[in-house]
Amino acid sequence: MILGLDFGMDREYKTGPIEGYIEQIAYLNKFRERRERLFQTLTDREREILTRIASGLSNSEISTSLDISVYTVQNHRARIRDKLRISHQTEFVTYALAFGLINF
Amino acid sequence: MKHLTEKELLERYQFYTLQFEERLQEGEDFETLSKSLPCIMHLSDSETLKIVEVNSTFTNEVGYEIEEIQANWLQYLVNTVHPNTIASVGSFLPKFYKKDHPSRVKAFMQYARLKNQDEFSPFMSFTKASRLPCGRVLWIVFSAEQIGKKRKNIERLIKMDEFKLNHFQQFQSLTNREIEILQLLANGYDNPAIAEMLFLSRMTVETHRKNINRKLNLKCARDLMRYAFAFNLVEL
Repeated sequence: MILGLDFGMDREYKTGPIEGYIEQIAYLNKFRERRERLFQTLTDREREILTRIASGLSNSEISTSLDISVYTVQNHRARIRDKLRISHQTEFVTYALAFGLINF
Repeated sequence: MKHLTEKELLERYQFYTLQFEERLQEGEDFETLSKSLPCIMHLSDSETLKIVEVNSTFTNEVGYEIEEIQANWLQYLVNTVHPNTIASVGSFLPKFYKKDHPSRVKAFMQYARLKNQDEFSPFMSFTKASRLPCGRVLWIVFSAEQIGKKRKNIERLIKMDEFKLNHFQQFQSLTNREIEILQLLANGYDNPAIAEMLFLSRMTVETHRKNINRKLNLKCARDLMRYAFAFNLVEL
């Protein structure tokens, strides 16, 4: 309650303060340190594709944007997955954020 | 300020807040003290969060004299501070002040606009539970954008907070269970793993996931991770 105005916020969760963001940014920095060597094994083409995957493009969207076939995209995707030891879809995004391929 | 990381910036301003509060306790005059740092500063009541004293930087930059603010507090608040900031600050700050850790400084982003401005912009704010008389607390505030223009790593912080500001209501619409599942998804657990950890069936997890996608309008992993980072769900 603030001055008699009730905004109905009864749930408490970890937000608001800047320390939270600093923690999350620290997580990304640590992620980057740990995976630096794996990331270096990517070719330029693979980086391009990783950027697009992380941005949320579908395989067919990626294929049209790079003018390659969907099968090629699928192959690249599998190769990236192996090289970077990705076990979950969200890790594509974490890699891309940590290595500056996409903005927040 | 040029070569500081986000963490160092945070620590530096936490230090200023602690130091200034100590000097105020020892009886130094507020206006004189505030001249040593070119920031917006004000004293507020720790229970109502009403502003009781401002420094000249405040008046010059925000555009109000203390008399104006006190004469019509609600008007000032509505004109100056974003409703989402009012709601979130109003909920966590009084509790923080009550806990009264002697050395803890709270840092948060508030969205405010100066007098005669239309747009709200982010301001980094620092405050601590006080030992000042009459339950007053010190706030140090500065414009995040002004700093961000010179330093790229503050930009990321600002972006995360803007996302939170704009998606606050949507996040609030999640149930506790849904937040739990969102957090597990963000940390790399798949549906079967989540089902096992939470003693649910896979169908239940799938239903929760569909609801989350609908409520937060998630179209891809990136959307999910944005929520995860903005709402501090990712764990080391």
